[in-house]
Amino acid sequence: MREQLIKYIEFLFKDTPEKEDLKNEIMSNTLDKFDDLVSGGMSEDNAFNCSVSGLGDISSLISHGKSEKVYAGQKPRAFMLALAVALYILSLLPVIIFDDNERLGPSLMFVMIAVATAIIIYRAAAFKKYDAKADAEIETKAEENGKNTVKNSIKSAIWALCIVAYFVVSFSTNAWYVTWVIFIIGAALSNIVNAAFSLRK
Amino acid sequence: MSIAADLIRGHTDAVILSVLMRRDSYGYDINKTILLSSGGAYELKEATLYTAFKRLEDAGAVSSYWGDENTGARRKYYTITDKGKEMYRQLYSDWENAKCIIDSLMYKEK
Repeated sequence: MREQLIKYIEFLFKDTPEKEDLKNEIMSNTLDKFDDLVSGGMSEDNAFNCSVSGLGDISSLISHGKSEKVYAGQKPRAFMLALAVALYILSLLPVIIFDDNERLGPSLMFVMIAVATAIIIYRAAAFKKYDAKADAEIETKAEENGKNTVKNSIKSAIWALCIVAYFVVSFSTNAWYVTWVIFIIGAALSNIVNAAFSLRK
Repeated sequence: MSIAADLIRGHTDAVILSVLMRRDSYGYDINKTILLSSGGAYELKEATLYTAFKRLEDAGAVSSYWGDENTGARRKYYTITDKGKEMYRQLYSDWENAKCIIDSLMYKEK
């Protein structure tokens, strides 16, 4: 049975040759446990089962290297989001600068909005695989710290303020054709809140 | 048991450092010490143990070295650093504090 235990642990690490140290550590500890149980009078079968079940969710440790890469992926993600948000905000500039040109200003504005939106969509699609895992990890941590509730309150506050701002600005300036941008800014701010909480992990 | 285990989980680092305060030790020995000290009531999951080792090592609270067993697999020993001792003292006084507060907040039925 001892041989089988060694084979079992070798099998657990077959795809991660770089985790040699961890493997050796787990190997020696698990064999110590097995020997201890057997010398305590337990049958080899039972000792094997005990040692294997004790290893529990060791797979999460073995794939740990991958989850570090998830965090590495956070930086470009955050940067792309920041860039997109900057574009959204700056998109109003052409309209202000080219005040006398009715076509150029709005055209440039829409181009910038399109680019910003494209960045966000690309970011979501390209990092989708990371997302679920990273967010799940971050989510549990956030929940532990009770930060999730803070995050959600901030986000609902942003949306409430957006609606208020939309009507106030729209009625006072009568610029209904452009004030809807407030909602995009709202979405962006809400994403910034997400990113800020993620980065603080 | 599972509720008690949840309560203890937050103190995993302190429990491990407590063993290492007394002597250098390796994974299975640490867990066995914990099991025996608690009278068989508490044992760390191995995944928890190795995660805690990595966390403590990254934090500079412990350092590790390989034993020179002649027979069988070599053991990875952990030793507590000065920083780790400092950390343990802090965790210990935090716990004394928390224990005191919780004791005074819990109403015991007559």
